[in-house]
Amino acid sequence: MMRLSKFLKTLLLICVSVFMGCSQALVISEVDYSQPIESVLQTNEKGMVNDVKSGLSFNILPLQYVETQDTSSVTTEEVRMIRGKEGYYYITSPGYQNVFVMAPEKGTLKLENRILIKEGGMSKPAFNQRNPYVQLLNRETGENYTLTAKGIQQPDENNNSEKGGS
Amino acid sequence: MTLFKNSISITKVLFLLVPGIILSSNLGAMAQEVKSDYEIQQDFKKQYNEINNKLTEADNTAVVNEIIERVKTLEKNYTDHRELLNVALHPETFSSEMEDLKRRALAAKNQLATIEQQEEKLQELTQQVTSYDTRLEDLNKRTDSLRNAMQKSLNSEKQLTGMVRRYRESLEQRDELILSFVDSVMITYQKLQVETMQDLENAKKKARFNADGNALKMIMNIADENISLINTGKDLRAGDYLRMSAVQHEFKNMWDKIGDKLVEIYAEGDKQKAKENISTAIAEWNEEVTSKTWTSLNASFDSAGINLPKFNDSETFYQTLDSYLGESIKASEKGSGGTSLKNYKHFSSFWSNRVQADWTPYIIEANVLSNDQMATIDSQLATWASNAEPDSNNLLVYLLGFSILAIVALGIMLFREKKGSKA
Repeated sequence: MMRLSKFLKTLLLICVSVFMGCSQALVISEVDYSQPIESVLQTNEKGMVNDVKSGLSFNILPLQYVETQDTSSVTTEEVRMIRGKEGYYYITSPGYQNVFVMAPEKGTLKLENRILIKEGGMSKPAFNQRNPYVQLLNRETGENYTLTAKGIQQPDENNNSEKGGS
Repeated sequence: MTLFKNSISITKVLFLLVPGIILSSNLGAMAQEVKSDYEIQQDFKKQYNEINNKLTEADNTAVVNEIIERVKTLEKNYTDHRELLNVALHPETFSSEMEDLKRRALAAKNQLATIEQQEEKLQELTQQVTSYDTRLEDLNKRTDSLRNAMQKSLNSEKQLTGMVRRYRESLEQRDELILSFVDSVMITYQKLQVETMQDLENAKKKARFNADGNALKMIMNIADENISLINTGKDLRAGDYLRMSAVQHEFKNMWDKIGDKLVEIYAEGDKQKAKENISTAIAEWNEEVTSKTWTSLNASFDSAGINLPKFNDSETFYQTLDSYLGESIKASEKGSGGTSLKNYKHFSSFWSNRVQADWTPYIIEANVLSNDQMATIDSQLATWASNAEPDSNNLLVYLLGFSILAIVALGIMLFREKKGSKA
């Protein structure tokens, strides 16, 4: 009788384990999302940009509003965008002070971080992929910033949301 | 002293300014040189496409040599960005793209070198064609004036005969010139490749060949002139028409072989129509000369006293000769005697002195009779000869031999008789 009880308990435990295993979401780990070369996108009259290669399209006006507090007209002509290793999109534009780190979610891009780069903005920003970081380059001056989703990576620091340059 | 002080101050200013200018210009240059990965790959693609387009448009080897140098510089400048470009050019790679460009540049260089060689050949030919054209025109004029003079001539028969002779000689020279032209054109154009001809056209270099030395125009002129000459020809004999027919065959042979190339190079507008026009003219020339050739051959046999049924092509001509000889041999075998011998002599004389001596090369070249057919006729003629010639000839030989033997025998007898009487 005791043996039967032990057997039933063991059987129940196995069934529960199998059931739990089946219901768990399938996860692929260590995915590298890094996009090797940035996308340079032109806005249309409505502020929409479309990256033909990745198929991503969105409206820039919410970001433009943060920068200029104005969405009465589309003043952002060119959008520079690159996807980092973790999957976040780094977005900026000539004249923008910030790099917007956006997390892709269901039907949306959610602000993960806003990295202030320079008061007054950069006239010729560009992103380079420098795994595991994203490099922001000012093509006009040559100054560059090492970025992570959390901020500007200083040479001897791990994380920093403050402005910095190298 | 003031001057000395001034010079020192100028030196100081220069000492401070020059490094400053150099430094600032270097910084400016450095600032300009900063490129993102995106710009690097965009610049590479732009330069690559520019070189590609220049390669497509290149029309001489000097330009391609410059392009090859640009390819080398491009490769050198972007080797450090190889990995970035491998990603940007995926599924191609930096190396494969550069190799492709080098290979195409080399191919373009070789092709243009061939075209340039062909251009030289064509220019040579153009000069030749111009020279032929001039000479042919002179001969045409001479032939025309002689023909007109003959038509209007009220001169003596002796003078007229001289004119006819010169007229026929002029025609002969004209035909030799056409054959020479055919040889020259064939040798030059057979070496040319149609593919590069199209490239020549693409390179818009065709115009220079459309001047006086247009081979296509000259071919059309030759065909037209010959048709006219055959229709208006006076006092021409079978030998003349056979020669003309041989020339026409050579000409047609040339056209069949290189007509397409000539049309590709020289024809303007509708090329197909240009080709058809010349083919039609050459076919008409063939028809006219063939008709005259057979009429004149029938007349020649008639005037030689050889009664043959009428023939109007190579096949019926050979069949007629074969039948005639076959029947003649049969008749000679039956021993028709004098008639057979007379006929044989007529035919043999005509065959040897006219056909074989004067016409043989043209007969073969104009496809009137083949070498084998000529050999068969010779063989039949030999059989006829052995049958037709009387046995009396042999009898005479025997009699002569017998006579000599008899004289020798008599001589010996007389010698012995004299010897016996002395003893």
